[in-house]
Amino acid sequence: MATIQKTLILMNKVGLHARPASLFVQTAAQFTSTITVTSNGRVANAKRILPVLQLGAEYGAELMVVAEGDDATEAIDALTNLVHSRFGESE
Amino acid sequence: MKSVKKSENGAGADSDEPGASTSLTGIGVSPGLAIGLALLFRSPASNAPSENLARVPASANNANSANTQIERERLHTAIEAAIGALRELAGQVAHEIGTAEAGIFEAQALMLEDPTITERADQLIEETSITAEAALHEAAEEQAALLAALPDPLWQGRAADVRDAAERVQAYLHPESRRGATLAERLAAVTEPVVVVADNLTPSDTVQMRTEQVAAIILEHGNATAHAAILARAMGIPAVMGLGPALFELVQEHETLVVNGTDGSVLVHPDAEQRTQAEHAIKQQRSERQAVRANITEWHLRLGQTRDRHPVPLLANVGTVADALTAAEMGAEGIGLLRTEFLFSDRATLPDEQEQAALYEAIITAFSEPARGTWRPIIIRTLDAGADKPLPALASVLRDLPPEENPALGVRGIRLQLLASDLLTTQLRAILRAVARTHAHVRIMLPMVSSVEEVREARALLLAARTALEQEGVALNTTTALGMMVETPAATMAIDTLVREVSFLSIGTNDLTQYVMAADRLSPALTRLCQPIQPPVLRAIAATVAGAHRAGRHAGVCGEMAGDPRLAPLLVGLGVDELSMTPASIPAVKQALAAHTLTELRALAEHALRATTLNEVERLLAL
Repeated sequence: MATIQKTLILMNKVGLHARPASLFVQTAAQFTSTITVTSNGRVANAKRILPVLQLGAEYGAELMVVAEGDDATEAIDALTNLVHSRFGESE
Repeated sequence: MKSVKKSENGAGADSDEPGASTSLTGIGVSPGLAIGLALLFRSPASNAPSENLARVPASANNANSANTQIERERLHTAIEAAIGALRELAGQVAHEIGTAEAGIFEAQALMLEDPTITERADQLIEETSITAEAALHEAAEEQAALLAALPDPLWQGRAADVRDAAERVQAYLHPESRRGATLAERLAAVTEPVVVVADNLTPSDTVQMRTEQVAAIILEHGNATAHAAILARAMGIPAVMGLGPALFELVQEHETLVVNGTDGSVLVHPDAEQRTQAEHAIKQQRSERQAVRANITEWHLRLGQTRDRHPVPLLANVGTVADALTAAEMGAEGIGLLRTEFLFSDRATLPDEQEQAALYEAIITAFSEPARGTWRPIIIRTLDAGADKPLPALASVLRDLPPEENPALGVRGIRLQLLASDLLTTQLRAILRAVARTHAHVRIMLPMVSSVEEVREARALLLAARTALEQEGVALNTTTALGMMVETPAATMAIDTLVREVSFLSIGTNDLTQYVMAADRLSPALTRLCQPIQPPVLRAIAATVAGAHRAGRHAGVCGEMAGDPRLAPLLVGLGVDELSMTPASIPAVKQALAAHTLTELRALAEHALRATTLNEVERLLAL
């Protein structure tokens, strides 16, 4: 069991808002690891959309993602790619 | 705000006894008195708690279901059904509108899948023996409140999504009451006017009502500024809102109600004497209203024209359904400026295509029906916003722009729309949808144009929107004319090239004055400079009209100047083809134009154009 931690910066226009939050949660849900995300001093279960939205993470916000479990590395990689791709937003 | 009192008929009567009347007090939002039988309606879109959501223990509600297991199962079944429906809807929206819009429903499905709500609701059922409805309501409200407390309006708006999603589940918990006939279907079946008793009404529900069907409206929620209130006032239907949850507890279907929209009182089950009194007062009210209506009809018959019958269509500037109704009442020959900023103000999120289309349709219908004719032109101006008119819903669009030192010269009007072209495309699609539904004679007008490229880009977006809608099966029979506002000196100077790009022009004299004179409209020290009859402004107007006429196009004016009975005749003399103004000004302007011949007005305009100072123009106009 590995615990991996990574800090990401939100570079997409709207932040961790409706659609990006949906993608984030759906991505996290593909892994068996326990994943939490911390931003603005709040901690959220990364697989639940309501607490993730309640982080209020805007453009430029720091996200600390912690994954704990057998697929922790893969989970962090997938979430990193998603955030770095700006959630596929065109602008 | 609300109170309930019982008035007893006869000694020792209790509230259950026949003959006892009850009175309720809310906010009177549309004046007048009415009597009718209650028609109970719960809006499917309601997010609000209603009586079945109250924290009534399940055991008290239903003698059999002392066990919480049943409530939990009901809840889970309803949640599953709602998730399925949301996913289906998301798929449909992705296909018909776009993936971004579909994301809204996908997010709502995820919210229901999120165990945060279900776990909390299960816990509430377990610990407090409440119904599935009440538990879901409380659990969802807790989550909505957390989102509503975030500082950014975009996130606050997600609270509404949580409530929407929860409401969808409530509909599955109560399929019989919530998925029945629509309000319009039920009203079509009534034989005499009823009192609509509802939790909430959407603008489209309200605008479809006919006075032959609806005597009054009383709502659990709402206040004087609600869309439904504005509409009720405009349609002359007495209405009381904000009556609170007591409304549905006290009023039964088909109960007789006396509604006083002036003082906000509602009498449930009036006795014989109260009834007679009310009927008498209503008769008196009806004859007064008929007298008022007869006067208005007089105005309907006259069109805008000079004494020698040179026609000058007088159109209305409107922003809401209520304005549109007033415009029809005042005898407007069309809508010369439908401002769409109203749709975007007072809200944290952008209205989507369907919502916009519904509101355009409501405004078009509100104007066209009483004005008896779909041929009357309706000019819809696309969103004219920017840093000078900040709207919270645009925060996400404006956020990426550097702060502006001169917002009046910044990214506003067409500039903002082309920068955020999704915004314009959504609006154009919504307008075209409303056209397809109403077959109204709609034209589209672009604000703040200063270059040919801007018009071309917007036209390309309009064509693309049209093609896309047609491919999606929306039947668009006629083409929609594209026109522009003339508000910038650039537009007046390049009028010969610009006019070839559009079908019509409308001069916005307020902004044109400020830009020609380079004088801030809001600066009190510059009031004299900022007069629309300053000689340079008059010349700019004359040049614009001449340029339009050379190209065979019409030029209108939709600034405040058009609605000023002292200045409107001068505009006609300058060659302006139509005038658009606030509806209330139409009768006075009609009268002012009828006092002169076109020859007189042309002579007046020639003199004004030769004037060298503001004083001279003022003397000419006897100001």
